[in-house]
Amino acid sequence: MLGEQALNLIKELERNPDIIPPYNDDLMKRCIEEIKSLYQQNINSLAELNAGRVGAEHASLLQARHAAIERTKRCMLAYIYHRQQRLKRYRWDYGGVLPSTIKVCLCEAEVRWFHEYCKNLADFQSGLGESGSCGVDLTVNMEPPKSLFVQVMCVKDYDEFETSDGTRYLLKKNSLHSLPRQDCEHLIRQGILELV
Amino acid sequence: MASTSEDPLSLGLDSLIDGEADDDVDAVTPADVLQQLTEAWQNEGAAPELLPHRFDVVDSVLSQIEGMDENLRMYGRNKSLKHDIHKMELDRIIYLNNSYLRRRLDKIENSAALLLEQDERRRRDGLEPKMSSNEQRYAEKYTQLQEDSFKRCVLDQLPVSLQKLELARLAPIANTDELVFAEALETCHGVSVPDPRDDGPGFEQIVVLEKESRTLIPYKSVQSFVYSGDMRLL
Repeated sequence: MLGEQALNLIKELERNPDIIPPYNDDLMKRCIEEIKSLYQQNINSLAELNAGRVGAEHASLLQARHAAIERTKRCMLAYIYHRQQRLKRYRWDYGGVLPSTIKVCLCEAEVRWFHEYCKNLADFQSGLGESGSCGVDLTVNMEPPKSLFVQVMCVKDYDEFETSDGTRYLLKKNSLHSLPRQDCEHLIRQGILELV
Repeated sequence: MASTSEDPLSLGLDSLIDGEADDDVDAVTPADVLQQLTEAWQNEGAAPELLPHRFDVVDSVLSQIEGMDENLRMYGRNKSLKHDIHKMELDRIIYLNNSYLRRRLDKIENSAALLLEQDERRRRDGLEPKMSSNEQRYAEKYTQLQEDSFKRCVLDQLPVSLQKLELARLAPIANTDELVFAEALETCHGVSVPDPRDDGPGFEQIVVLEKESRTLIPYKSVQSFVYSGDMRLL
């Protein structure tokens, strides 16, 4: 059915709201094919219309096809855009390094986009302040702080962890710690630590 | 820090950096700056559109954070209650500052291309742009990246006449009719609000908002007062 592929693209994202599903190259290609074939049909119709071989009622067919083209194009752009938004979320939650599990789900342009996005954000952060060396990290302090230390439980085994005041902690599974909130904020968001 | 030891209850910003404040010829105290940042942060959170930037405030807060951090580090080794409370206060300020910048970045990313266009127009009209030069660079790069990836994934493979895409036309436009809670910091004359007795367009009433009065009002009506600082959003 006309436009069905484009709808599938959007549905795919909606069915997996929390993850970045594998880049659907196949479906994208089919959408582009569909657009191209509609476009070709339109060109042919237009030529026939201009030559007067068909009646004016064919003009509305032209419009319908054009609407289909626009819709498919829009769905494809929305697909790319929403994947970008999810990648962006990832940057804020986990940092600028993509694990291979996510990388395989992305197309080449998306990996490039991610790196450039991280670079842009880093440039912005280092440009803050008059001296330009304030070391602002916008991804910490996402919530208003309530206390200096937080009680956390380790959910997964993790390496030795050094806090900003130089104390080292060994984060083993099921161990309980009292850590500076700022330092472990990233680990909590990554699901390695859990607030108790 | 002499004054803090005499008065353990004064935990404000002044006590942390009073050494610097004395030398400063500038009349703006750290507490004032924090007040301004809080206001800017609150306004940015409540306004449906991007407000003119307050990077003058951000810059001075950042340099003060640096100073406070150093002070704390000097006293850091003795783990006193006072140190902890000061550290907490500092964390709160950092949060405020980060959150302010994040809110702005969010808005900028949402309609980067449109905001760039608007700033260009403001500059032509001789007005201050809404974004700082740093933010503007960010927005330009962001738009360019977005365009690039659209082109690579979709547009380049389409017939030439379908390749056109105007990001500024696709960006969401801020809804300035949205209702906001506003407090008048000064008495504001000539606030025009839509007349509730008539819902046709163009029918407006002029009202005066007394100092310290609070109202629920369309954002459009108070926009210019928020810009000038005569009103704040809640």
